[in-house]
Amino acid sequence: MDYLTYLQNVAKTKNVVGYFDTYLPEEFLIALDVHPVRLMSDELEPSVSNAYIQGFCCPYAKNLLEQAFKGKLDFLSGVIFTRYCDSLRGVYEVWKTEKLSPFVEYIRYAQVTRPESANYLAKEFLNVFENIAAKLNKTLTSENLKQAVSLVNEKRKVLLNLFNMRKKGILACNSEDFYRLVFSSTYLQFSDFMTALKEFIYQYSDGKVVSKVKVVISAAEIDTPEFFKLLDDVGFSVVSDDISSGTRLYKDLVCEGGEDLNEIAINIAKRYIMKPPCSVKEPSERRIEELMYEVKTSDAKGVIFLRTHFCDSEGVEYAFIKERLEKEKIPHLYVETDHRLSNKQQLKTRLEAFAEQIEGIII
Amino acid sequence: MGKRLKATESLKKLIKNYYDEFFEVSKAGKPVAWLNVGVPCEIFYAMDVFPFYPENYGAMCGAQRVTPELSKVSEYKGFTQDLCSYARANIGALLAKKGPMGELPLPTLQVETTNSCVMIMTWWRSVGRLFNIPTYTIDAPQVKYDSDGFHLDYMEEELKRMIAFVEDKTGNKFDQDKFVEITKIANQGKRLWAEILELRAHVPCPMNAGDIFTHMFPMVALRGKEDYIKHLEFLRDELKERIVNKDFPVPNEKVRLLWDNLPIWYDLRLFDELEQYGAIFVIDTYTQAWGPRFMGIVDENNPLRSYGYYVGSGFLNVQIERRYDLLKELVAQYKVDGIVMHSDRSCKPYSLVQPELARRAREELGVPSLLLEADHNDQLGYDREKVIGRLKEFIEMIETNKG
Repeated sequence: MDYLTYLQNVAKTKNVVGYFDTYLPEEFLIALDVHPVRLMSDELEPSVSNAYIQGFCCPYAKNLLEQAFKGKLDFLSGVIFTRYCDSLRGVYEVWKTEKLSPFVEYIRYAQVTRPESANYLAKEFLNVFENIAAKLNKTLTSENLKQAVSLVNEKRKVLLNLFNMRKKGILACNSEDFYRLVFSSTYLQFSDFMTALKEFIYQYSDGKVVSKVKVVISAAEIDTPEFFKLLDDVGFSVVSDDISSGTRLYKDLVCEGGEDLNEIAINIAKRYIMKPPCSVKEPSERRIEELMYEVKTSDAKGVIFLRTHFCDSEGVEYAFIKERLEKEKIPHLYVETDHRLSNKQQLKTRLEAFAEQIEGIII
Repeated sequence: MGKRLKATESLKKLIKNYYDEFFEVSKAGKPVAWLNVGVPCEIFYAMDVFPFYPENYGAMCGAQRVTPELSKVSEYKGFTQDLCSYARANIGALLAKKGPMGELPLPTLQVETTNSCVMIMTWWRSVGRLFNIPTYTIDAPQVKYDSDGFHLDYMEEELKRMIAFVEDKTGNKFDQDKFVEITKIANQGKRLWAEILELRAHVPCPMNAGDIFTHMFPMVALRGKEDYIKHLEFLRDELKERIVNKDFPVPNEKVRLLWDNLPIWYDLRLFDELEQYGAIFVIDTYTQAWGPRFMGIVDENNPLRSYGYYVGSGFLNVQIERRYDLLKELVAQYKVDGIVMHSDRSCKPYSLVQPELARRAREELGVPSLLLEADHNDQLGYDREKVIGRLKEFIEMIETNKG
């Protein structure tokens, strides 16, 4: 069952609320018995959205707007934006003004992720999610929030285990299938995800690991399994990543403690501000260190840096990642694309050339 | 065409003195802070730390048309070519050790705030990393309309943390009494700036947009300095004089326009060009960022919290509701016939809401808008003839509609 059909079915029995980046604390929605879904891009070309937002907006963000205009997200009870990047901020303003969902909430998120931000952010979380609870006739309780924290932690733990197995070469699945599973964790209900996970393990645990050129992917955002298929086809195996929709989703857990809503909210806030950062957050040094760690511990032969067109923070961050990779003599490739891989042929040629370059180094 | 103000000469002296002082204090090894325009310079004057604004320097790079050349240097380093042209020019100038003022001496520290865009944060981050300069980021989570409640508490705490950082890096102590004195002077200047902006509402308008954009400099960098007051008084008096003497840039005004977004720094003459068609930009949204609505009078009894409010409620830190209300107020106050929205490739938060704002202005205020794509600092790809052609058509359309 495809992603949208699945969600339309879920929406028949419970509220489904969409979000846009991995800084959204899904624990709160689960505690409200609302199904959180990180909205994914599709193949739609921008048409209606062109009248509402300029061409230099991030194509991924603009695609989500296009989907909303075309009614593909009508099953949503609402959406929640955080302060993430300037393109999503523009999309938020249009979404809200055009009333594209029954409710459109906004979290006044801390952009600076230092420990002092946690108390502020916890208050903001409670403020926003209590508003949402009121809109949906729900009640946020400490008991439900505690359970939600455990549940989401559990999901992160299994993903991390699976990731480590694959990194060690004891899980014989290709990159495309692995990332399809990771992406599904952001839209499947917990029980459905666990079923999918069991099937996945059953399918791949006895397979033979095919030798391929190991690489690590660094990017802000990619939710297109076809990109990973392209890498598989070229002869790469993505053994690790530095992507918001990849390891940054599940690397850190929320501390499971706290007696009242406020204490639990602070624990949640701490996890979200201290997790491996995206380049839109400050400070972001940990990101480069995480990337280097992944390269060194995964036996990767190179790094592919993928930038979505017009992504400002990645356009800056690349300069520093490039410098560090050059210093450490790690081969790397910079590529730019959009969620539809509209320059797929060009990408393929460049990836093939990079594979040859790395293989040359191996020899 | 292009009647210049006498105050422009006084402004040139102010700018020269400011840059002379910047080079002198840097050479003497005194503390210098590079700030983005959302960070209040008053706090730094109160701490004897010289506040320098790279965005202002970026505009200078734009006006002198050196951005493409400097950008090549930052692009060679790995920064992509579609980033904000202020950032590309500034980083390029630092790496190349050249620019409109020659090699810039590096600062003691940097402070920026997230109250405008992600680019500013990553630009300051880059300079900090490239040149090993201690950098503080004032977190300013974006608000819907303005900062209040626990958000405002957080803003005040952020400013306190920033002050502790500056004390630590410079050894200079924060002096509350001096801070209040400087705030009083800054407030005096803000009142004058508000008067200047209001004088532009006169029909015919006494000041074209090119002049107001140039005269923003003291509001950005000199708040709290005595000579800033003198200059603003001079400017205000000259505008009053123009009104009394009926000495206007466009005596027979036909079309009154509003400019939305940063100016096109390498083509400020564009505004003069339209005078021959009887059109004048009587107001803009950009200089409002330093006006009473977004950087208003600071409470002298509780200044830090008050500055926290203005940082938290900065012009690009509010949402579309407040941006629209501003347009609505300006259209009424300045008797605006049309809005020109500079869709600026280098400023997403300013630009990406413009199509919605244009639609609302048309439907709810009955005011037409023109969306003009350009870049505020990088002239590559700028087709002046085409831009003037589109503006001319827009002006003609407004005139026809007015009958």
